[in-house]
This record gives sequence, structure tokens and C-alpha cells, in this order.
Amino acid sequence: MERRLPSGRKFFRKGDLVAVAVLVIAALAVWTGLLFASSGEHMTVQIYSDNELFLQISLPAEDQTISIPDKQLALEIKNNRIGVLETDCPDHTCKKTGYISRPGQSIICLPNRVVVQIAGQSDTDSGIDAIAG
Amino acid sequence: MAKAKSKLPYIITLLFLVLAVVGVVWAVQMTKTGHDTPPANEIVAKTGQKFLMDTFVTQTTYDKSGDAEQKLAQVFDMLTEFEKKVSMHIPSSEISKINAGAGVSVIKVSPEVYELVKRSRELSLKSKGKFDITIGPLVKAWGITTDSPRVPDEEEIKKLVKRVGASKITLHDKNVTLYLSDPYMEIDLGGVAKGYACDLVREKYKELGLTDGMISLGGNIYSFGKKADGTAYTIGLRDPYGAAEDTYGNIAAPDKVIATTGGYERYFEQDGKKYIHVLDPKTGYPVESDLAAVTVISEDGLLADFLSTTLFAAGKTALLENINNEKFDVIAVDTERNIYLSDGIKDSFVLTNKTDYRLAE
Repeated sequence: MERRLPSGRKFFRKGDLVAVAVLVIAALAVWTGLLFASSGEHMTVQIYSDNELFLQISLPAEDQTISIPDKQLALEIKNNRIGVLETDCPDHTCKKTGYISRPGQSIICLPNRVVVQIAGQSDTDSGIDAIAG
Repeated sequence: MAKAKSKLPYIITLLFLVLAVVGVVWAVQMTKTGHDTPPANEIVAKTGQKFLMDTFVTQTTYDKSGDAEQKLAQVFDMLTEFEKKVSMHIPSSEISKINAGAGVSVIKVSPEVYELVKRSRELSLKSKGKFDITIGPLVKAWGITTDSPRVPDEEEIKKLVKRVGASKITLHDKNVTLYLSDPYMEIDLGGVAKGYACDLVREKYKELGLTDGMISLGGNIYSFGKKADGTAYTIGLRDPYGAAEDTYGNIAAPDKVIATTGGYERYFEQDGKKYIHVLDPKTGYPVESDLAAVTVISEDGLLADFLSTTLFAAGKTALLENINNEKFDVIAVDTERNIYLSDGIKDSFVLTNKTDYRLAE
């Protein structure tokens, strides 16, 4: 026997179930979003120049260009990733590294003595402590 | 009015449902965050980094003593002092003084510089012309690691090759002095200084009483002891055809120095031709090797650094003739991505990039 509200309506109608389903899906979406946001929550980009910490930026951050004083080197943050935009160094190794966004990743420009790194333990479980090369 | 009243329980029910879902999401989120926080007793590695000796130097230790970070700083200080003695770019360094005094003055040097030059001279003479620490004039002419690299003309190279020759270094053991007999010759320790620095670091780690430690001088590595979890440090081997973080294999760090030479490290391009930083002392031109990278593992850091360069320059045939030796182990990659291992490293080596690389028979 179906329960009926005093008004005589069914407690649930098809439309209500749809509404509940939509809410559950929406909540799941928010949760997924939170998960992603939390993995980036404590990420900090550290920029060192001549062995000194020059700048720290928390990610996510707005798109921007960062010039390093006294160096012909410009960095760019785009879509929460950081990379070398322009450099005058001869080998361009730093630029070839591309854009980084995960903890533990780094960009090193030897000729300019600049390091960009994302603080935090590496989440890529490579198990490697150092690279010989 | 009546319509609105009849909807009230329905709205309340929905609200409860929403709250329930939000509650569950929140609870799951809290659990998740809880897992992300490391347990209080976990030992976190202490690290340090610095540009030194024309490269990027990083250190790691899991030593539990409160002053481990200061100890790492002391190692950096020691290396900074060493750099002041051996750098070609520092005019007041002992090496600069020896070079400036070539053909003119006998220079008194510190014991470590003396040992480094003496051993490097012997190794140069044994290398069958593949390595020479008096390659300075050629390195300067090419300027491959500088802002303005260039291809010197043939006449210039012919002239400069004649200036190279480690036998022209005169040593005096008792007085700890060095003298270069050719006024135009110059010592360049680029091929041995980092390996020797690893030897100095090993002594310093011992002196400081660290329980474990790892240092990488631009990819030349020394490590000893175990990490907090009781395992050895794992050393990845750089993929010579990949990006800086790509590796083709790895080994468990063997409490030895690991030195690598490859054409991918430092080079410049002109008119579509690639000029690598390893120069042939006999021809005066960059080495054209059929090897892409050579890694040498030895208790003797200076030897490891010297051999990685020399075996790389010597090429595959010579490498395979000398691959097994009680003093060192070798991991080499040729330009076709075949991997060659000495017998002593076969058990430790793990091939991780099986798509592009294969172990040679």
C-alpha cells in the first residue's frame, strides 16, 4: 500500500527521484572537484636565483609572466603550470624541460643559475631518489 | 496557499537528503585529508641545494640528529672552498694561478689540488690520447659551455692541439708545487673535478658522522647508508634521448661514486651540426662517439669521472674490451639504445624503459 501525504500526493513522484539523482550527481561532482583542489592545495612554486630564494607563489595562481632581476630569463605561469618563456642561455635546456605542475618537479637553468621547483613530495611514485646523468 | 502547504514536507525531505549527501562527502573528504598528513614519527629527508662548481648540487639525508641540515651546509661550504681552489673562472684560484704562471712560475698548491692534478696527469697519460687535463686552450676556443660558443677555424685548432699535453706538467712532491712548462698551456679540470669532489664529500660525511647521505653534483652522484625505511637510495639512469627527468633504468646505490658522460649534457648547434662538450685532445674537435651515455661506478670518484669521459670518447669497441674490471662497473648506452652492463652491476640494474631500450647480449 502506498503512503500518501495528507494532500493525497504520493510521497515520491518520478520527477522527485530525478531531482534527487541530479542532486547526488551534483554532490559527487563537487566532491571530485574538492579532491582535485585538495591535491593542489599545498603546492608552492619556489624560484631560486643565485642560490637565493627569489619568489614563492602558491598554486593555483593567475596566468602571469615573471622576470628574474639581472637575468635574461622570463618565466610564465599558464593554466597553473610554470615554464620558461624566454631565456638567453646557450643550451636552452631549461626551456626544453617544458611546463611543470607536480610536486617534486623542477626546471634548472645552469647558465643563469636559476631553479624553479614545485615544493612537496613527488606524487609520481617512481621510487627514484636521484638521476645519474 | 494550500498548494504551498502541501509541498512543505516534500521540501524538508529533499533538504535532509541534500544534507545527508553533503555530510557523506564531507566525512569522506576528512578521511582523505587525514591520510595525506604524514604520521608524526615519520622521518622526513633533509635536503639542501646550491649552484656550485658550474653545476646544480643537491644533498639528501635521513639522519635523525637535529643538526643534520647544518651538516649538509658544512658540506656545501667545503665544496665552495674547493671550488675557490680549482675553478678556471675564479682568477684567484690555484688553477688560475698555475695557468697564468705557465712557462714562468712554479706555484705552491694545497694538498688536495696537488693530488687531483697529479692523479689526473697520470690518468691523462694512460688514456691513449682520449683524455687530457691540459685541454684548457681548446675548451676556451670552442666555448661550448659559455654564452658565445663558436667553431674555431682549422688553423687555430691545429695550433691549439700542440699546446695540449699533460706530460708538460712538472710536479714536485716534496714542495707540493706545480709548473707548466709550455707558456700557452692551460689545465682544465672539468672532466675530473666533480668526481674528485665526490671523494672529498665522502670524507666529509664520515667526519660529520652522518648516518646516510646522498649528493648529486649535476648528475655525478655519491651516496652511502640507507634511507629511513631501511632501503638503499635508488639511482635512476638518465635517458640520453629523453627529457631531464626521463630514465631508462635504475640501480640500488652501491655506496660508490656514479659518474656519467653523454653528448646530451652540454652542446651547441650551428648550421644543423651538433657540437658536444667532450673534446678530443688529439684532433681538437668534439668527440663523435657511437655511444650516447657512459656511466661508471667506482669507490674512486676521480677514476669514475675520468673513465666515464674517456670510455665515452673511446667508443663502443674499446668500451666493450674494457668493460669488466675489478676497480669499476659500467653501464653504457649506444646510439641505437642498446645497453651494455659490466658483470658486477647486472644484478642491481633494472631496465624500466623496455619500449625504447634493450639489453645487449
